[in-house]
Amino acid sequence: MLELIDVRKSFLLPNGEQLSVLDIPEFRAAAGEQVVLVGRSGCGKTTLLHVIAGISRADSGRVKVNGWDISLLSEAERDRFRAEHIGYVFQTFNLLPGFTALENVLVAMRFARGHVDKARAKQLLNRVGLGNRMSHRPPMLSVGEQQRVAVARALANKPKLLLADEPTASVDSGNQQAILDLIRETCQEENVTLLLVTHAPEVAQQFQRIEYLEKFNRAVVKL
Amino acid sequence: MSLWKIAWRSIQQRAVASGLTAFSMALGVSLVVTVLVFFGVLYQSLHRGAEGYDLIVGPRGGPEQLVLSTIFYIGDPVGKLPYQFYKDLEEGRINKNVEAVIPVCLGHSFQGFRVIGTTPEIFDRLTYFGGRSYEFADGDNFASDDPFAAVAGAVAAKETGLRPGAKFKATHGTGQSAAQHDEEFTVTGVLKPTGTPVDRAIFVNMEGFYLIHSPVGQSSHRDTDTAASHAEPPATQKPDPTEADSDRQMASAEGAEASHSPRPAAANVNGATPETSVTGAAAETHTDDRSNTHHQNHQHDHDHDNHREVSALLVIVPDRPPGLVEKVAFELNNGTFDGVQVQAVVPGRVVASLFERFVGKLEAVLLVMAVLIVVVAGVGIMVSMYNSMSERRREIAIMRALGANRVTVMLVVLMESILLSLGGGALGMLLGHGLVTVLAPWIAQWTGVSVGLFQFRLVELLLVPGLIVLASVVGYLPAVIAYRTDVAEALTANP
Ligand SMILES: Nc1ncnc2c1ncn2[C@@H]1O[C@H](COP(=O)(O)OP(=O)(O)OP(=O)(O)O)[C@@H](O)[C@H]1O
Ligand SMILES: [Mg+2]
Repeated sequence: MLELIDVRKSFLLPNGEQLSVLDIPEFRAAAGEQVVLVGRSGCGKTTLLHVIAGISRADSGRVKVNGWDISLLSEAERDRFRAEHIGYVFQTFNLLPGFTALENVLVAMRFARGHVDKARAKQLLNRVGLGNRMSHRPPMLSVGEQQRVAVARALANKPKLLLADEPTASVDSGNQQAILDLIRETCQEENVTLLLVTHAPEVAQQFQRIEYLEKFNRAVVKL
Repeated sequence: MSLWKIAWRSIQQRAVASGLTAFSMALGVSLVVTVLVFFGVLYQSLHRGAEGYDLIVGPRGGPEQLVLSTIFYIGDPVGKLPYQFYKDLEEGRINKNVEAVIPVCLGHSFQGFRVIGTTPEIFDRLTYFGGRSYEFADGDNFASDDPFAAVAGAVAAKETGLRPGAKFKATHGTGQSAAQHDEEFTVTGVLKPTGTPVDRAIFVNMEGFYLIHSPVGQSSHRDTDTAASHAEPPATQKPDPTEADSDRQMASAEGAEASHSPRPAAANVNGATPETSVTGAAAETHTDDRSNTHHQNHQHDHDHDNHREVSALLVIVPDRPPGLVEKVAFELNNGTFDGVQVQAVVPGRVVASLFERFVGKLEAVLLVMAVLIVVVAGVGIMVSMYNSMSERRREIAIMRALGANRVTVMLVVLMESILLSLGGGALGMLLGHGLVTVLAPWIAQWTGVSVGLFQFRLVELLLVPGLIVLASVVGYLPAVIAYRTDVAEALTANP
């Protein structure tokens, strides 16, 4: 389902040096699998998710998602691929501030398919417990509620892979567990592969498969 | 959820800044609309009076003076045409392609409003403003067999208090000091407002016009003399058996004298209002003396057609197949008819050239300034959107992360610019037309044209593509910023 082979990614620093962030000989995840990714700050977790999502392009290697080798796709094709196959949840400020909760979900559908499925959007918002907040804009929602909308939105296009970058880092521990449960349950319901980044050990230890990025990433960023 | 709606949400999110930039656009557009409508109204009001007939035939001279004096009752007539020419033209002896001829005799006034000698056909036959018939608010048209019957235009009736049954005495000349005649006209009807110069005139049976005896010839004598001093000599005077008449000679002498007085010639716009120019009034005094003398000495031998003259003729050409009006005009302009030479002009064309000459350039200048204001408002939209781009990096990155490509986010920004411009433009149209509507009573008073909220000029439609082009140009820079946004970087950066 997810397969990375010899993926390298480096950044050109302002002083002209190349900063090697990713050098991954191999990484795989099966369909429907739930993987937690941990590692110290700055080791390249976000960069890895960007490469998998096609937001950034790997310098070399192959990135296969659901049978597609996205390292062969053009940027516009990767955008389209991302819209259709990948859901993404950030740590915070996931939502478009000018749009209501419902519209945030609909926008994702619009970009993926050109049309929207209002019934599914409402069903998803009900699923994350925001059935009565659909017409509220992000400033009227708590951070935890915003994360729930982000989860609903990430699932809007029935993706095969959900990437979550510290989705619970900005909420209190009570909310943290609720949101984590929500993500894991919905991914299971929809048979979505989950790759979740976290710093919190109490989150990581709930997963069967815990991956330490520093262990399979040969590039070591010195801080 | 269309891209337009996404762009609209973005506008709503920055409601204050968006509102202000759109409002500045609205002000610019309202200025454009006001200028367009105002000059449109002016043009229309000038054209309205020049409709319903095909040609104006008058003595040789300036075509613009002929049109101004005949249609707008401004300034002096070019000269006179013999009555016989009118009859010959009317009865088809001069040109067979003439369906109807309506005479216009100028030279009299009542309380500052011009009194025009004509036939009832002027209201029965002619139409105005795209084929509307003249209607009477009160009473009826005058009868051809009642020489002292009169019809008053709407404004003239209102200001002078003339109603059907009212009697008035016309004065010779158009100034305040003009001499009054003893013969009284009786009003038979008052016209409904037409928005044409007809509103500001009084029409009498030309038979009565001649009976008050101060033939157009006299005032036109003066006019031909003055005209002669600057233009080609009028060849309109027909050898007149009564020329030997002592009155006549005296009149001619006085006319010649008047021409020596320092008054500007055709350019002198001797309006139908009491506010006549000083030189004009001085000239009227000359005329007064003359006509008084006349009135005492002359013994009303009005039946003699040779005494009768007309200032101009309104000609209707039958059916108006293409080219026929021009053909008739050409034949009239190039012929000599029993020693009479005339000029025939297509009124609409002369009005258009008058308009072009006097107000066309002003309209162009005002329009350019208004358009520049619109462009400046467009630059304001660009600045506002450009400033907002840094705070929108995150939004753009989120859209990209959701799968929107570079072109899509660029389009959303361009659409935002277009919505601001068109929204401001629509508001500006409302403001502009609202302003015109508020000013409508005054405009109606000045020009006789009543304007409504929906008095559109077709050119205004050019604003729509124009604003879209402008919006695309000013939206281009912010759109390119959106296009170039580095998603990974923008997502990592703290909002
Ligand atoms: N655009 C960039 N240009 C240069 N260096 C970059 C760029 N983006 C990331 N880096 C560097 O790459 C390394 C990995 O960054 P990344 O954001 O992937 O870390 P992370 O594991 O997500 O850290 P954190 O847990 O703090 O979020 C960091 O050292 C960072 O400074
Ligand atoms: Mg990170």
